[in-house]
Amino acid sequence: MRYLIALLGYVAIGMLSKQYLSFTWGLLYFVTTVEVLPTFLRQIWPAHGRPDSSSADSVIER
Amino acid sequence: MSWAAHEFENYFFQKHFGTKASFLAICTGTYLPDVFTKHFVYQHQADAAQFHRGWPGLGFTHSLTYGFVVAVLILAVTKSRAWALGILIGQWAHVITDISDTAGVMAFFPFSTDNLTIGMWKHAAAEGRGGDGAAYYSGLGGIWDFFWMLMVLVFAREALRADYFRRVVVPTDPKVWAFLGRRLYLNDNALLVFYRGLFLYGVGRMIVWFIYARFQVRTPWQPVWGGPLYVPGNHLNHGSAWSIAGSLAIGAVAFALFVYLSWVLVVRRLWERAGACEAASPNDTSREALETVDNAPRTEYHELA
Repeated sequence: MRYLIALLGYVAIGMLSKQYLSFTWGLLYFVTTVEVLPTFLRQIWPAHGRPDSSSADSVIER
Repeated sequence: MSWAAHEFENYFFQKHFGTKASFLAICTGTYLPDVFTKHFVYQHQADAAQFHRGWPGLGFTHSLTYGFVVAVLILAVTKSRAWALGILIGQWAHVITDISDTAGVMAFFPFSTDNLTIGMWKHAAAEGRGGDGAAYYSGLGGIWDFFWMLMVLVFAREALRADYFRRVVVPTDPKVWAFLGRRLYLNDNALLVFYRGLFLYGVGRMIVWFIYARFQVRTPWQPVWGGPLYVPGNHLNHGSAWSIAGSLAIGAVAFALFVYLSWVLVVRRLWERAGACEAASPNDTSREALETVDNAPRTEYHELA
């Protein structure tokens, strides 16, 4: 689900700003929206629940 | 040129070659022809195709010879077979894909400076970046991107899975993934997104530029061979078809001879030396790293390096 939302966000940014993210910014955007931001939000708002089972979090054991 | 197929191809070839080739090297090889030149191509709108693909110009970056030479240099410097093979696969995939536009590529440079092309869609760099994107997604280029996305999803979807990343991609390149993790402050999950990010980027790019072409600049959609028809062709070859075919055939033979002689005289030794180095340092080999990951699922990637 996070991947889909990130993808829709990428399309929306491109459409609204008419600035199409380059390779480096595109990768940074996806890493931030799919993983870094949700992880940060979980840390400051832990009561908001467990990791999304469809995301990368639950696939790689740590 | 291709706008998203180069991203998708990486996963397809990664799935095919497995631990024999580094995924990061395949990506590097894919971007090798354009990474230093694309920005300048759009500044040469008067002769963009000649500058990008011709000689005199920077067309040598889109030759099979260029990929071969860079791969041999990588093999000599890094002593890594996976990186040399990855660079070669990525660069050659880019070159072969770019045969599809009207400018084509000097595949056998310097043995032949004629361009190999099938003219499937227009090379439209002369239109500027926006016009190029719009033209690409108004002809068969967009279909080609979509085709490669389907190829990955149908035949190489396993390469997108987290388990594949952990079992195959990381063990092939444990040091580099560990370096990326340390330098970019990314945990394992973020590295996985980084790995998948290229596919997402390709999908996003394909959608955004298609919408841009259809609804913002409203260029006519002409998915026919050699389209879009509203863009003037950028053909670089001159002379009859037979003379071009003859020149390319001679170039192909000369290139094959060059590769063979290089292998016999230099590359084979470098290849064997790299193999010996990998055997002497088993911690760096794919098999050892793979076993390490399989046996220790809680191990961080930086501990593998």
